Amino acid sequence: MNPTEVIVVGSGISGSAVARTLVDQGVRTHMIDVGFDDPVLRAAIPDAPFSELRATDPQQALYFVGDRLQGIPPPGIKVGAQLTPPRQFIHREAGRWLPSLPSDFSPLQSTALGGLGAGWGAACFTFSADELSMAGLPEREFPALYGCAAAMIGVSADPASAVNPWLWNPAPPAQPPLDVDDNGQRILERVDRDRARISRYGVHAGRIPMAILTEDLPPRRANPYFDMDFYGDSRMSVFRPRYLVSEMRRSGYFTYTPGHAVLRVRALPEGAVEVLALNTQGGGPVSFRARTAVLCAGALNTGRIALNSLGLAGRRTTLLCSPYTYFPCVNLAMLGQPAADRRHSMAQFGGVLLSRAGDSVDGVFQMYSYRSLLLFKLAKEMPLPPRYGLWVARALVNALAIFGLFFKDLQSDAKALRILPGPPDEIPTLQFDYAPSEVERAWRREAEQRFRRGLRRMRCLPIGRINPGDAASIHYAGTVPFSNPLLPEFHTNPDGSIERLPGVYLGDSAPWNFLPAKGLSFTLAANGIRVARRVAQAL
Amino acid sequence: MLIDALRPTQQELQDLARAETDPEQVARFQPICRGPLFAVMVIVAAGVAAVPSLLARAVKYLFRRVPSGEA
Repeated sequence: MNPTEVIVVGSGISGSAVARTLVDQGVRTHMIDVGFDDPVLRAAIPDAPFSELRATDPQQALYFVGDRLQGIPPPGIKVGAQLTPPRQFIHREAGRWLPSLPSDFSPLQSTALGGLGAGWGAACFTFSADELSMAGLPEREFPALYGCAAAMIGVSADPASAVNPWLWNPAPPAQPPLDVDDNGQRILERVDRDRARISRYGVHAGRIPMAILTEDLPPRRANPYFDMDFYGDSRMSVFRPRYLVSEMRRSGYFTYTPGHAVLRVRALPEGAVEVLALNTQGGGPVSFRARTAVLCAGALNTGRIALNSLGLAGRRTTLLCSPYTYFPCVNLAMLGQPAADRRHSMAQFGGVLLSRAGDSVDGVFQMYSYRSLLLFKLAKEMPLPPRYGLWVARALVNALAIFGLFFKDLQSDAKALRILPGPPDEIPTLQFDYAPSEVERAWRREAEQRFRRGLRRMRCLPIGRINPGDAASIHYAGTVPFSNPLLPEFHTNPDGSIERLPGVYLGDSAPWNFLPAKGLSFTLAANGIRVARRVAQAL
Repeated sequence: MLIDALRPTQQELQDLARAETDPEQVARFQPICRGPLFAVMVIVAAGVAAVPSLLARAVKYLFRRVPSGEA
């Protein structure tokens, strides 16, 4: 067999986009991954609507709450509370293979086939030229790259959405938009009637692009609107990176090796690289060799591998993470009203919170309806005995609109990670030191206040403000940045390779100097394509 | 926090989750869709009906035994 030309570490959105682009160009590619999956539980979910399953399936507890009741978040849980039982493989054994010291910053790290992309909410956004430039990415290349990414993962979008100028610009080709559920539709109707007043607060709302099919793209099929998207991957309608991995496994240019957690990489004198990994089934480090390696292990783990590879234990590097707050609201137009069963479960619409001057995007929000997450979780949040909490939940559930608001993040001395010194054959532990300044917190408070006013103007009454913690957005970046103010010698070169590690490239968000408020997954796919093309050229 | 003491216990949540995923009990968990006024009345009624048990829980919380060393 011909030797591997490129090793890709990780199977998330970046890793699968990098590998797919390389394989398409005839490059022999080897993907190394921890790669946990749960096909058995996924297969146990019938392809039927939520309401039908609730009324008829005697086995429903298996996927709704889990055989060990793991779908009921235990008190005080910081990481993964939002994952339903069929998605909990996403962070299986993460404490063992991606260790970190407990702190206020509790990120969700993935050991899954598909990485965090296995649970992606599927909202797609394009970064503006300014945002790309601040991140250190070549803004001129991205319009075409976004088109390639949309074709690769399948995106549906409304070409006339009011928020496209900020979130989907230039608009890549896409399938027709998804239908919005009754709850979202009532709010959007209100927005259309009162757009001028709502926009005074900087709030602009509309339908957002989603990596969910509305037309068949064989073997994937259009979304059936079963409202089961938090549990299964019905008809493969919502994009998951494992679909690309499955396709590539049929190619003679691709090898997939799950069951390995990468420890470090090393440049060899003969112009090759060695990747050392631990077998998750036990045993010592295993060595893989290739001409080039591309790290796509997620910004946090890529930072860990790069620091460990260069012997930089104990040194602080930068860390970016979008701050995130969510607001459960009562949509007054839906209170006590029936809602149609037919719906998908992901964000119904979204929008932007512009700066006071209106010249930049301070925040990006997405609105979710609630139903398929079950009422007992609502009752859990109420300071009422369960019987009465259930009454309130039943009265509110059709009118509940959950708005998640994300903010941008900038590099600072007080946002850092490092790896702790340890034995050479063990995965090093991460330590986080993430403390936004008082200026940043005050800025967020002001922005949230404007957002709440906008919500009220939309006739959505906020009934709480939940700050799930600094790491809860699951948007991480900037651990091996193009420009590193904390550790200048530890950075990514303009060509995407790591300084002092020739032949080792970064395919995920680790090199970015800036993290916009927008979800980054779609840009990760586009960037993965860009990095893979460069790597293929350099071979 | 007193407010946390008023929330359902883990055992109560487990019982509720089991009931909610039992097809025989699906009617108990259907949304109430009889108009906004009725929804408001249900919410207010639930709050009022819960007062005695909330008071009982609050008293139990305030006079609970605190292990030494815990605030």
